[in-house]
Amino acid sequence: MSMQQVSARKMGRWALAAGLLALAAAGSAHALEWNLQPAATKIAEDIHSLHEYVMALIVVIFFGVFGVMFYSIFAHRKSNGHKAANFHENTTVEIVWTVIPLLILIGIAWPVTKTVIAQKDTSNSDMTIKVTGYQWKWGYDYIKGEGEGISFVSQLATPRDQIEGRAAKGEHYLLEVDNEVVVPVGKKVRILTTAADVIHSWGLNAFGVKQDAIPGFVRDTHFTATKIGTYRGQCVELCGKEHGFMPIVVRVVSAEDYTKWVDGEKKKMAALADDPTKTYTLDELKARGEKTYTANCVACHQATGKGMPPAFPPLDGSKIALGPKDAHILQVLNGKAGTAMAAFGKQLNDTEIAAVVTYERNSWGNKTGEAIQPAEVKALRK
Amino acid sequence: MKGWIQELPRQEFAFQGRGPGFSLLLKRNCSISPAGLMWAYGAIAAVTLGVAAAFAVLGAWMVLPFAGIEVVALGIAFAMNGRHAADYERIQLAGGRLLVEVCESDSVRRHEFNPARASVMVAGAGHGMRIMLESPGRSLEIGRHLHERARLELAGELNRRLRN
Amino acid sequence: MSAVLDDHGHDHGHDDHHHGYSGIMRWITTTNHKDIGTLYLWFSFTMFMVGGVMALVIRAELFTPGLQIVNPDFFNQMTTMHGLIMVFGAIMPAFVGFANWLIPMQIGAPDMAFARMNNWSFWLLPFAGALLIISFFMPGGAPGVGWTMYAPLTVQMGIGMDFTIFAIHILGMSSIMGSINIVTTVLNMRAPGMTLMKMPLFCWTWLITAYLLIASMPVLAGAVTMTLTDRHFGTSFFNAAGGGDPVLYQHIFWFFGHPEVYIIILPAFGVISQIIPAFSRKPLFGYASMVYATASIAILSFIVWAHHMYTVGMPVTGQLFFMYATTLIAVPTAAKMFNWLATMWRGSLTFETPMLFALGFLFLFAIGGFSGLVLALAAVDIQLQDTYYVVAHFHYVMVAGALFTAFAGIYFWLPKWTGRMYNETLGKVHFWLSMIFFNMIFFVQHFLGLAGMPRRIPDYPLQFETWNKISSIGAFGFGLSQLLFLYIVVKAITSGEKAADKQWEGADSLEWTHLPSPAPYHSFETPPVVK
Repeated sequence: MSMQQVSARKMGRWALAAGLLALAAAGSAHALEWNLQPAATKIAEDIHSLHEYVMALIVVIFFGVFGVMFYSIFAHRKSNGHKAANFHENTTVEIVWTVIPLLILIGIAWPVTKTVIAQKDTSNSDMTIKVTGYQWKWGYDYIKGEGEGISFVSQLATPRDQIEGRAAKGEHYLLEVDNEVVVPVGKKVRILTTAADVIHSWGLNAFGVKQDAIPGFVRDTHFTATKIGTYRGQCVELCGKEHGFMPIVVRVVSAEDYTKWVDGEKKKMAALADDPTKTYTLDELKARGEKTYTANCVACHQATGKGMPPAFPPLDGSKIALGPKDAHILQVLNGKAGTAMAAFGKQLNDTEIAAVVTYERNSWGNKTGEAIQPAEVKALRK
Repeated sequence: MKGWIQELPRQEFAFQGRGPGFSLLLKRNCSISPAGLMWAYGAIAAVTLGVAAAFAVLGAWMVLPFAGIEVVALGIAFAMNGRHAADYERIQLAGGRLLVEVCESDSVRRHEFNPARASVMVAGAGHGMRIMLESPGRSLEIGRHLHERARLELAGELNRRLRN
Repeated sequence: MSAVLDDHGHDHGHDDHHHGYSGIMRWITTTNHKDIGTLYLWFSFTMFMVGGVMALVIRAELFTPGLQIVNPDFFNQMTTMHGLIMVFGAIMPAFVGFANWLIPMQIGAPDMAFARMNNWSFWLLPFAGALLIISFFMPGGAPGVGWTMYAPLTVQMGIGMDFTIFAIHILGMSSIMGSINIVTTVLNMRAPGMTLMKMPLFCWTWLITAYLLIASMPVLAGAVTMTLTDRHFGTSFFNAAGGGDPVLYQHIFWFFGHPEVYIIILPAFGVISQIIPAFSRKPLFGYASMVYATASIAILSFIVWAHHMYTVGMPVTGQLFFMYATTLIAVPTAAKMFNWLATMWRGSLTFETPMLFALGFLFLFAIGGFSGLVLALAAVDIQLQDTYYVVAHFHYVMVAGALFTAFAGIYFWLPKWTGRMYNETLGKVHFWLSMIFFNMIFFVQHFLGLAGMPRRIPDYPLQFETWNKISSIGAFGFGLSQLLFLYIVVKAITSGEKAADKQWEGADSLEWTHLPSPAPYHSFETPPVVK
């Protein structure tokens, strides 16, 4: 044992100590996560057991192989006076260690195949929900089964203050939404995914589900929740600036609670339905527009209307917001190709678009005094 | 360094023949045959163009021009390298004649010298040093496939044999 | 060969000076494979530092939940550029540097086949690197699309995206020229007697890698060009609204991308196959099977690309085909592992720094391989796709696989290149620091991924906090440890002890057995005879 080895070891121990210290210092309110989230569907359970099975094999192989290596490191070292043998090939051994891994792999691939087939089988579903990815929120349309016709947009409910460190972070920081998806327990739910702008990915660890949402294409997946509860996830495909801020929350409820939720939702929709022929005052529109703006526009264009140039241009004093109103409305309806400006035509109704355009044209330094009416928006829709 | 000198490739100095004559073949060192090179090229060109064609069928035709340019570039490189693969110089002393046969890409030229009046001269020094086979009024560079040091040895050896 | 020329009265030391240029012009005009190898290695290290700083920005932001240091847009630019710079600017040039230095010496050739082209293929790199970095200063900044540059997000980016596309074209050109050079050199310039099956394994792995590069680079060039025309010239290759398909981009990208992974790791296998026999004082076990395993990995790498795309919604037969094909790669890879172990078995082992890094490679690459096996299983991958589990997996393969191997190779050949030894104690300290901090960064990311933390997010839910803190602390430790590496190398070059011609007792390739240390500027101008 030379001096240099001693000092190398010493450095190693220091680094190890630093690591343990970090572990201790990093203690937070949450328990450490070591594994997949608790399963809430049969497929997620299967994935759990597949993962455990494969990990068990891996650990055995790992210790076997590196047991041999470490034995060699200790027994066959020159400092122990070990003389090198001179063998350098053996066809039998080569064949053995090619065939054995092959057999192990077949032993792994076989059970996985069954789960892959189950994951892909979206037939015989009890209800269908279409999920649309937007930059940066999720649109949900219940298109088949109980609750058909329900439609809402679901987006991050965590306040900006928490994200920017001006307020204490809540329990479900970044995993809370304004409108949760509600599904009945024990029913096979088929999920159709698509997107309006770029690729997003909809998934829930607890359900063993992940499916990319691709603009212009519809893909599907499915789950049958076995446990009542609230399950949380996030968009998992990089989709631009706010990719980290578009969570997915699914609440699984009993059949009766689901029926109740559907009734409530239908009533709410009826009450909320805006009459596109109504005429509003400027102040009404501005108040409504501020809400819409905060929900949809603030991430890029900022509450101050200053944007984050040059990627996200300011609205305060902008040519669009002070120019012809039709051009402004059209930009909000259809978005702007080649930029992150999304088309809001499908996400917002006429009243909301009229309100938000009015708000943008009459806030900060913008003072056009124009009140845009829903009918004007309706006229511009293709 | 002594050991290194002994490692000179023997075949380059394999003076063959009996009696007063000899035959010496000087070749470039080429470790692959032209046929082997063609196989190596054909394999990679087929894979590259095949892949590009498959993508073109799927609508991504822009892979194809890049694959084409690349296969052409590789072809030019191989051709430049392979054109001279079979080059050689053969220096023969037989029947009182000194014959030098120079093969370069696809041409073979024969030069005849009078051994009694020919000698080998060294031109230049260090890197870029050449050796010339000279007789009155004529001069021919030889030993181009050899390293400088081997050229010097060749010059000495040839002069010795010509003088005998 | 100056000593030899000296016998004949020529200027002593002629060969150690070059073509009349000195200073910076020497490096710009050089066509010498050793000079160019050196340039590649220093360029690679510079880019490694630049990409490393970007990684530290990422880890600093992720130290704690909430947005503290950078905004999400800049965070995305960091993840994108970190990936591109590390893959194309640091790892690939490092191994091309090794190829330039070693291939001619190992096969007994005087230089690369096309020395002038070799100079061009290096000097393209600084321009490409500069374009990547300049993109940060363009309106809209660098692209924030991830190194995979998925459509149609690329269409939303600013002009920085175009700079990146041009940079990739230049990098691709450089790689192609390098590959043509390597293929021609290895095929045609071997010394008499140096048959293909006698070549050191490093030359074999590079020959196969060069073939992979030639086959896959046009695919990348096509992919980014189509991205460019979609952005500016109204084409719709990947735009659904115009009849294109965004998923087609992913197929094209990964058709390049998966061979790219092996382009990075195969030369690393070659380096390991030189180092382990040297320090085991025993010939490489199963040379022929190593060659066949390398070739099979290369061939398989072209039929597994869609395992990066299990969540795009392929038909069930697609999922299964790519799963089976991918798991099959474990067979030749395992054979390689076993061959290395068998090489060590009953050897006479010593543990100098290169050997430590090589053993670190075996250990960590095995972990990366096993996590790769887990990810190959389509059903399980659904849980792990685009999470930190994937980040952990490919850093085990890229950092512990390729980077550790590059370290091993530099410590191994530095005596041959410079004629001077590094400080063995400091080398070992560098190894242990790298080893410990590396695992601190990335081992915990397996847990984050399993628990569902997506990659490429600038902020995260609270339950991921502890592991992220540990990971961030590890990252800063790892980054600082690499400054020690720089110190060790510079110290060795400037004032290291003289190295022996055959510094390592067990080394047996031509550069050790036939050349002095440092290797002369012109070596093997007359090929040696290999018996």
